[in-house]
Amino acid sequence: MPSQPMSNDPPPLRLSVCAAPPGQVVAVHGALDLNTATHLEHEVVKVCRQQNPPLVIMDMSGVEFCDSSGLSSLVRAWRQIDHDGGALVLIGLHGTCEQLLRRTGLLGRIFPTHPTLAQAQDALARTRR
Amino acid sequence: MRAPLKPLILPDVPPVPVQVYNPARLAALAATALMHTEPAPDLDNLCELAASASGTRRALVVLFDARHAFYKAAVGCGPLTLGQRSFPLHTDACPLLAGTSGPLVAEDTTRDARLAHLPDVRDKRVGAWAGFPLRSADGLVLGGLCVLDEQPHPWTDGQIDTLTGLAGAVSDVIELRRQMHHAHERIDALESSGAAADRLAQTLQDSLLPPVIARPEWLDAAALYLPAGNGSSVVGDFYDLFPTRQPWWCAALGDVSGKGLEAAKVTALARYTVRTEATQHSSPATVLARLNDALVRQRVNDRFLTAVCVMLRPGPDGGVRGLVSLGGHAPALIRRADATVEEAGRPGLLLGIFADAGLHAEQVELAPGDALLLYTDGVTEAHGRSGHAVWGLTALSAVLAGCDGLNAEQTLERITTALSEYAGDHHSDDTALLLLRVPLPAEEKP
Repeated sequence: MPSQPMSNDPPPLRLSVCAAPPGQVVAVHGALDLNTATHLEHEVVKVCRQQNPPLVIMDMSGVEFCDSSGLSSLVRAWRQIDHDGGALVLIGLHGTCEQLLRRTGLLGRIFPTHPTLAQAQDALARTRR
Repeated sequence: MRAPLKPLILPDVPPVPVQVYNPARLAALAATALMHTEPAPDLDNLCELAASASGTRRALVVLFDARHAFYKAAVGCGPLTLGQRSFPLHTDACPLLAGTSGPLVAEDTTRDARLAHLPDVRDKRVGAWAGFPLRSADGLVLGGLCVLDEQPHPWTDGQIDTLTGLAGAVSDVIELRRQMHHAHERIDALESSGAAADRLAQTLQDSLLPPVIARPEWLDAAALYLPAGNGSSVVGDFYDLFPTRQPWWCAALGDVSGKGLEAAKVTALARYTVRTEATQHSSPATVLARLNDALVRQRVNDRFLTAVCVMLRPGPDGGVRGLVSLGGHAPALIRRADATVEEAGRPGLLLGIFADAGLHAEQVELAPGDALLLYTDGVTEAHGRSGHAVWGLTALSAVLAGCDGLNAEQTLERITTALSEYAGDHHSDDTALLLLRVPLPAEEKP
């Protein structure tokens, strides 16, 4: 499983990607903030190159913290995927990140969320028609 | 951590025309690089010509940004150091020219409602005043050419015509200066374009966190801005409090995503738009919807803004009635006089991304002793000294509940003390706080 090691110790953000037909899972661990926001975007760009259209399940269960910069990176990730004609769904949403998405009205509006990976996979399969 | 910024909030600050804060105007002024610089002989000469043509003792070429009026040229004031040429924006008459389409002429300033509030008028230093806008090539008002005398006296049509012509000449000189400066900048592009960006960022920033804010007689208010621990030079937060249509006042606070010049531009646009729209619409949801339109129209791209907007008016029995609207922003907190804390505002979509932000306005009633707190994420997302545990809304509410018997300023101090104890220098985002409290009847008016 390819992973993106960070130079800092302990790693502030770890990203791993694996296949979950019909899409790919990007598992996010750590903090999504000003210091790490661009890492997520770079990873999403890579994922978008690997699949056309990109169908992405972002697993947020390992996200410990998310601030407005982290939120920006999620919005930019959505923009990229949307631009490429794909779909993005979230699983494992909780804590500050869930609060932030709820408060900013984005939950459901651009970020559909599902309780389990299997349900997310089903949802993506339906978007493919 | 850099020093917090605490604006003075006073009841008798005269209104400054909204056009003063127009980001396009501030950018055009910054491009001239003339603010806070040494006198220029060509402008001095034109200023002397203005005094002798009008027969006045004093003449000034005044430029104004969002914070200061600056005497670029002064005749009849004796020798002035650079520091003595700079005045708080609201104490000078020339910024009023940003809101007029032409000259502003007063035979007797003490009897002129537009000027009577100014310190120089109240202290009998200016009796007769005539000001003429100085414009950029795009027609934006950058400053004014003004002539003045201690004693009131009429102005003749001939004087007005001559001075209008001279103001045109001064505007031409300023445009020439801008072009020269631009040419110099292109010559050593690398260094000075960075310097120009810094200067513009600073100019815009000044308009976001005003050093002096007006408040209504019926509110005790305090504001505070804590720069981020990492000391980034340009902020993405803004706050504002200003009168709209009688008897309404508007309070706004917001946070743009990201940092740097681009963020500052968006924030400047936001504050300007809220100021402009709040005089047209009585619902804060409409004001934020118009702001959303402006941001979407400007295609601010990856930048988005969260903002809270509140309209307030005095209610019965010494209370205050209001409407709160949230655009992707954290809920406002109301601290009741009995120490309970509740949230105000229904979630609305953050601004600048979607054409329809689905915003709502919620009614709030504040009784004497109640306080309304607006804040940016910096306060609730502050990291602890160790690890990623954040301070959070619960902690903020708890501290607010404990602020018994404190006035607005003391309450904000209590909150920031608690925040620093928790986060030390670790908080990664800047923090803006605005507290509006309804005074108790027994209290002396703040």
